[in-house]
Amino acid sequence: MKRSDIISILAEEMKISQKKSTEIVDFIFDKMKGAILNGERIEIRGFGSFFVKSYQPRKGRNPKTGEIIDVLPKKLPFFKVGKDLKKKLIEGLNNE
Amino acid sequence: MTKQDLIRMMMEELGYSRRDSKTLIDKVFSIMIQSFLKKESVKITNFGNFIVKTKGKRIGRNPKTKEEYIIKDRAVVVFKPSVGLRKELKMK
Repeated sequence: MKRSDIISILAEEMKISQKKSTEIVDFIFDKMKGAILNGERIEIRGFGSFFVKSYQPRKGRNPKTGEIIDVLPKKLPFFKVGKDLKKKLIEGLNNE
Repeated sequence: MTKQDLIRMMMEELGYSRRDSKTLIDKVFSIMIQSFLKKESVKITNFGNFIVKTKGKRIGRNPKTKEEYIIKDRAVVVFKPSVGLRKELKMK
């Protein structure tokens, strides 16, 4: 499923235009992206949460050559599946 | 940021009522959940991919009590942020 599929389904089920549906879907992901870039935690009940982990700069080694290199500080976003969704995913697979 | 914040932003910036904002936002997430339940990944350009992986059952052990139990077949959703999002976050 792609962004365009979400837009089509939303338009169809909510009886709104493709244009409006596009605006809504883009709005939601833009806002979530903005929050992630601000290092903010996002919590969507029933879906999951996003959080950003920061990594300190450190000295690393090239495992092949043994050469010492600087690993730059970085931030990475993570997603954790919500409890309800986790349950549904397990049930869905065992009730087939 | 919570769903309440998203609803409020949608009311203020797109001009939908509280009820419509909530319905629309819930719908978008439920469309994605339906896809996950069909074991279908969701790919959002410029944001990231939600990849559904299925894992087989295995025997688990409670590390505290050493008690064994079966961990059932399960599906998990893994989020892989897009290269763009990772890069932008790095610059911050």
